Amino acid sequence: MKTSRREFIKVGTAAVLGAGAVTTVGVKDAEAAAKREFSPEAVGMFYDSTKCIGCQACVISCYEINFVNRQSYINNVLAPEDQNFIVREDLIPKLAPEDQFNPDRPWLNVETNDYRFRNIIQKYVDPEDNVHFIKHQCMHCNHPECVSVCPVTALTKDPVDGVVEYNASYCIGCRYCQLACPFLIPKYEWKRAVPKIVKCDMCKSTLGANDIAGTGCTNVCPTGAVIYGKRTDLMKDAKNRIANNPGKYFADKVYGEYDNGGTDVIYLSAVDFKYLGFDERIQDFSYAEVSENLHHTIYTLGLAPIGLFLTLAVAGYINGKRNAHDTFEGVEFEDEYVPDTKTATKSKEVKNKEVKAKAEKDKGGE
Amino acid sequence: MAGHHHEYVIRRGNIFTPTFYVTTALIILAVIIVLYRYWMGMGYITNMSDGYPWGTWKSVNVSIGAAFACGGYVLAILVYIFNKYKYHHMVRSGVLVSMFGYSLAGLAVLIDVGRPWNAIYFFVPSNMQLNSALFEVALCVMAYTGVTILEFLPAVFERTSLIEKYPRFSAFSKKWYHVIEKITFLIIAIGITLPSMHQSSLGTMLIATGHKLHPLWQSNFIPLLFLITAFVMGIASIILVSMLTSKLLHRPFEKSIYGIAKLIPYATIAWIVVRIISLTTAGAWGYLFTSGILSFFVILEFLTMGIPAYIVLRTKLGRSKRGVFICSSLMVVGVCLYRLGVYLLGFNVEAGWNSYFPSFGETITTTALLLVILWGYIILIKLVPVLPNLDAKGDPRKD
Repeated sequence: MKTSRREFIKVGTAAVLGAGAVTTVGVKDAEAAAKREFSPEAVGMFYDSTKCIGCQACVISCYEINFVNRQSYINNVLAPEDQNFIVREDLIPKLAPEDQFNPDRPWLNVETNDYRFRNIIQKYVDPEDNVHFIKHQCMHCNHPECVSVCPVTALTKDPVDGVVEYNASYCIGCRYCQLACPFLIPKYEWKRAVPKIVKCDMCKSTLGANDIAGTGCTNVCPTGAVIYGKRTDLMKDAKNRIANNPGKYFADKVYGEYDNGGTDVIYLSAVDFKYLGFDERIQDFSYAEVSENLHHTIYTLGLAPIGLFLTLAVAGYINGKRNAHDTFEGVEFEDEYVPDTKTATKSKEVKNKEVKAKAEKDKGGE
Repeated sequence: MAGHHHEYVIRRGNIFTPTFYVTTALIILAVIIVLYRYWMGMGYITNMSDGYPWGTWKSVNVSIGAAFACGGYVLAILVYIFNKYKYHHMVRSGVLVSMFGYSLAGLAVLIDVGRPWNAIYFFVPSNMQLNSALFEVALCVMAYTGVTILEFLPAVFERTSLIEKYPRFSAFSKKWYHVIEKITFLIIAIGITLPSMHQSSLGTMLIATGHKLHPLWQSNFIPLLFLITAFVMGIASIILVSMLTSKLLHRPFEKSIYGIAKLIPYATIAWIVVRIISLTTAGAWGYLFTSGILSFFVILEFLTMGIPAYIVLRTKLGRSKRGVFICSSLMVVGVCLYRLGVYLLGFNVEAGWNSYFPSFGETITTTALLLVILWGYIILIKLVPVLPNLDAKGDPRKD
């Protein structure tokens, strides 16, 4: 019977190695990731840094629409009798003491996006003392990491207009989206007992995101530095500006055309984007592609886990038959004993003396 | 059968030992902190930020806690698949650690997530997100926690069958003991498949973070490395749990762990080889000596994995109690460093974002969650037959 035992060892080894092999195969396929096409109807925003004067009207507009008066904006969608504050409570921000109007500090001190500011303006002064502004909000990536990693589909990308939306009623608050986003956009309400993720949804939940409504930020921009429209139109506009103003824009690059697999929000700037808060390590592909391909290769149709399970079940069944014995014969007790103190030894049975002798033998042996 | 010995024994003794009181006190303190966190919001007790959204609850309690709980997984493979029934007497203590390790990892997630009641959407088909490694990890961990409980139930039934006061309950226990005995092979098969899946996916999770994970750790081989560290940690956990139990409870030394220790070189050398491949494919060798403290951590990973392999293969120390203990401890350090590296140490967002160090509240809760494993262990070995009956090692059954 020794040969059959060896066979089982082989089966077991094969099963374990198989799992490893599948993992390694996935690595190759991950490199050959197919790029996702943009929806022709995708909407987006186009921000030209050279036109921005840094007035922060967009910040205030967004803050007003999506935070301070979010409640009324959302409920205006419904007829007054359909307004149910309790049902929508989840979507309505509650003003914490630090968020309420403070007459001593009436200005906004905004340094980064947080759970109040979905949209901010930052300033960069280059070595020649030229001032450059940059607007940061959700990029609405074509293959967003946040959507890819969300385990319960709380974050979704609309297949038609391309808006990346957040639905608090599904969110479990795991913050995986924050971990995965290369632009550090999703923000979390850390000091709330019932926290949410907060991110730009191009005002889809408040204004409706269409050509008439626009977005909070694009509607108020006095210089047209940020405009709203279909991504295809915006891209044409950006290319025209580059063509008409040679040398004005950094490397004639439209940021977001390919970055992180392409984004619905696109940028033009006079300086390198790495100075404007865009990590230069961001690739031309989305890491969502890499992880999805790897994950899907390992779990193609669930073949690997099912195969592993069946192999293990067969091996376990046969091994179990070979070693079958009825172990159900009640329970045995082991007494406490202290090897070094004679008086403390409570053992009554001979068996326990044997245990003790064995223990001492072990001790002496080593 | 004349001269038959039981395979497992119940430890007779007082449950309320000083260790019990100390751990219980810390657990109660942690419960208070957790209640405060649920009442006020986690920002009041943790140092996590939008830049470092995953703190010690995920990196220590889930990623490392679940690794330490792999003793049951390794023993199940060894005993039921590789047919090494001579280690069968160690299975129950391994499963007990797995059961508590996984339950506590799950509990840590419930404390960590902001909206735990929405976890029901894991089971709503339209909400299942098959692209997410976290979805798979969550389902597998929940399922495996159930499986470890099933694996442990026979021990409980053995004990409850003795309750003569309630003959129907006793009969019920006997009946279900045999039912579980019959389907053991299925439970074991699920109980090996699930950890193989989620232990690797625990690593897949961090691939999506892309450039935010330092090149010394970011690679497509993270899943395989995580799977191997599960084996490494499982082996170390079996050895350490057995040795510490023997030492602290003045039990005889369990000689079988020398057999388990023979697996150390296989697991650690496999890890080193794959780690070298992963550093090569990621083109990260240039960072090995130039990344400050991170370089130190990676070099330490290699040392803590390499030294045990060397000790077991090449020195006499590898066949002594002291040597096996040193090897296992080093492996635990190595696995902790690697998994922490992927989840926390190697996670560098970008300049201008605050780095993360656990707060007092996080430290206490994280420690307490790990101590519950010890707490459950010292209680249950005195209630149900878990510890191997080392006196019965003369058992005529062949392996």
